Amino acid sequence: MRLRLSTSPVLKKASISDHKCDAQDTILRNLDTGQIWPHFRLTTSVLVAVMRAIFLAFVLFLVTAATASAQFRIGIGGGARSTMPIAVLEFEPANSASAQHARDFTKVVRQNLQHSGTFTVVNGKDYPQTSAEFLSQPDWRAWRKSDAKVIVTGDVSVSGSTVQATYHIYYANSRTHKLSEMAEVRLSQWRELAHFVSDVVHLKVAGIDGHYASQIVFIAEDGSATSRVKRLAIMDQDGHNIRYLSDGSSIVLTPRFSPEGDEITYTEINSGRVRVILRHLVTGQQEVLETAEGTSTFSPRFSPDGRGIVYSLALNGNTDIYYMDLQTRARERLTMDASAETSPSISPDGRKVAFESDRTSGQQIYVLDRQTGKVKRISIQDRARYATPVWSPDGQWIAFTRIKDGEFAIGIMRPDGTTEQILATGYVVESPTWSPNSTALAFARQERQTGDGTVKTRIYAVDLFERREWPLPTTSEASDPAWSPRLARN
Amino acid sequence: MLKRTAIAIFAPLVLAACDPEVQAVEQDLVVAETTTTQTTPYYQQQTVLGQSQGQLGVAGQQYAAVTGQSAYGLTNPYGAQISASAVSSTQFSNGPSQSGLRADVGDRIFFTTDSSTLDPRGTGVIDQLGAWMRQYPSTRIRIEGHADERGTRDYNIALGDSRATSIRNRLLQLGISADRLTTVSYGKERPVASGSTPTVWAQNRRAVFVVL
Repeated sequence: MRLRLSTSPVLKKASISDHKCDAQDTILRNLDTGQIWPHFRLTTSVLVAVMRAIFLAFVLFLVTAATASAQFRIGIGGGARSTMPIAVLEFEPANSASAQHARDFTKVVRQNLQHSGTFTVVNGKDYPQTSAEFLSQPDWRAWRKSDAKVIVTGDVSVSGSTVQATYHIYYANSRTHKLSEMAEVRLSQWRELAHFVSDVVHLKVAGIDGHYASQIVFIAEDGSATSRVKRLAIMDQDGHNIRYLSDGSSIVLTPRFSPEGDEITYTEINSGRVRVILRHLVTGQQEVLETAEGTSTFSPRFSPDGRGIVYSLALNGNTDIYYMDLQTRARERLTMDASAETSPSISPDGRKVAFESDRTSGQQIYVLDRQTGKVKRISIQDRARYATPVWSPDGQWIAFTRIKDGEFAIGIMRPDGTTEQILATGYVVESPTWSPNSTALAFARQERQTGDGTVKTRIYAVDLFERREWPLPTTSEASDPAWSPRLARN
Repeated sequence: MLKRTAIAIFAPLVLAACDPEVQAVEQDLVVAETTTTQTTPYYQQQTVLGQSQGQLGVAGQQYAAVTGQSAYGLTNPYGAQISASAVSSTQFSNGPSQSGLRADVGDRIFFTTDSSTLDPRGTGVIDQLGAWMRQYPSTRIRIEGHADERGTRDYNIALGDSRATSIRNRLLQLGISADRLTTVSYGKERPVASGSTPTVWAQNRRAVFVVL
């Protein structure tokens, strides 16, 4: 980790300080000294694949102009379903060598913000000014007439092997300057810089963290329907930077991140056994979770405190839900039914376990209270099958897969089963997974097969508020997504 | 035998005319089964094997073109296996190998949607499998449970496990020692046929016996 410290003020453009800034403090933001991810920080030198996403490479200086006068809080938490129109001006290239990166950088930031459920990015053609024009002399009157309430602008400068972005946030209506910062990163990591800037904008304007500095672990699929090759893979939340973690020699399914983001657990079918595997992303070490003979274990998921794994164990044809403490390796059986119980998910407070069971006629979702041992069914429609409950990180929702009249759907409901809403449908849609800020879901959608041996399955995401859906551009077919926790902090 | 062949040829046309509902396939299966039984029990038709397989193959081509899967491309997921069997109840002649098992007993049975219950036909095959294992006492088999694509991944692993175990339990009842049997579920991960039609689903809802 090499830190390049600069003592010179970052902001050189006189125009910025001309705007309404109540105070200007120079703050050195060095994420390396932050209280985040101590584990990862210690092991960075060994890590390439996972760590490359990360913040620690950022050397960040910033000058904050703190104008707290306008604080937008949108949708989430407030309940309102409106998005904030935002203009992301084309970032100015500092020199001709920066032109392509400036364009790409702008594109990534726009796409990120559009995929938040928080913002609507106003079409670039409708901007009254370019970045250069705005930064030399903002035409507030023109901006007030445009749809944009928030203006993001700045420049991108490539020099040698580093790339630098200066970025500013303004509010059009109040003509206020919200923030100016500069961040720098190795050129090869320019996408992370764009994600980082997107996160800053999300946090500063919406008041909550974005999900841009996160990753998705998933199953990359190749081959025909009858000889499918499945590999563990990890990508950035926008579908880029795919890395493969397994070679396809065994069937791998349903990977999930630990709450720290440094481990995954998944199901592997190999040599006639179905087993839960625990794998450390930094060291690459892996182990079989449950070694008891005659058992099949699958559908693992970390507890939110990271201390244990909840999973399904099949013994003598009966599948029930178990919890294993990773320290003591003590195994606790959570369900005792002759029916099939699977797809468990522990609530963020650790007190409840949502799972699916076919104890009545078809699959339905139940919630177990770990203190009282009481089980309550929460999905209410008898005509539909409900599966794969997943608690949102903020505890407000349970995402699920619903199969009704042969049609698959991804939806959300409150933990008491009320307020059911369908967000996506398809021939087979399943494996919902929450963005770390609980504002979006990723899931897999398999198309109806034509019978020529191909299987089309891709990962999509949808935001909760506008229900805009977008595909993740994986290079192969893809399934079983699982979103990581947030990997950085602003 | 003539009757059987006629059904086999006719089957793809029947299917094509049907509304693609599971119901249609189930009915189709029943028709095939009933008629077959009228001729000779399906497990006593060894002599039919070569010839009828050839004809089934021709008949199946039309459907195979649709599914892209020729091995089990007929409406009846048992396919040619119906005709494979033993001449008398416990004399198996093809040896204690996978191919021997396939020729003498068949290497798979099928299930209805979301069920791991053995139907009469499946039970008949398992009973033959039990006899086969008694005749070849050194054999060990792995029972692989599978499901079609129309369920969630986790649930289908549980379902496949339940299917494999129902066969294991039947074999235990028949006196086969537990240490000769292992089970594994592949859920919906290893279909034998590709496509999204009732016929394909029916072929994929199966348990397969693998001689270890």
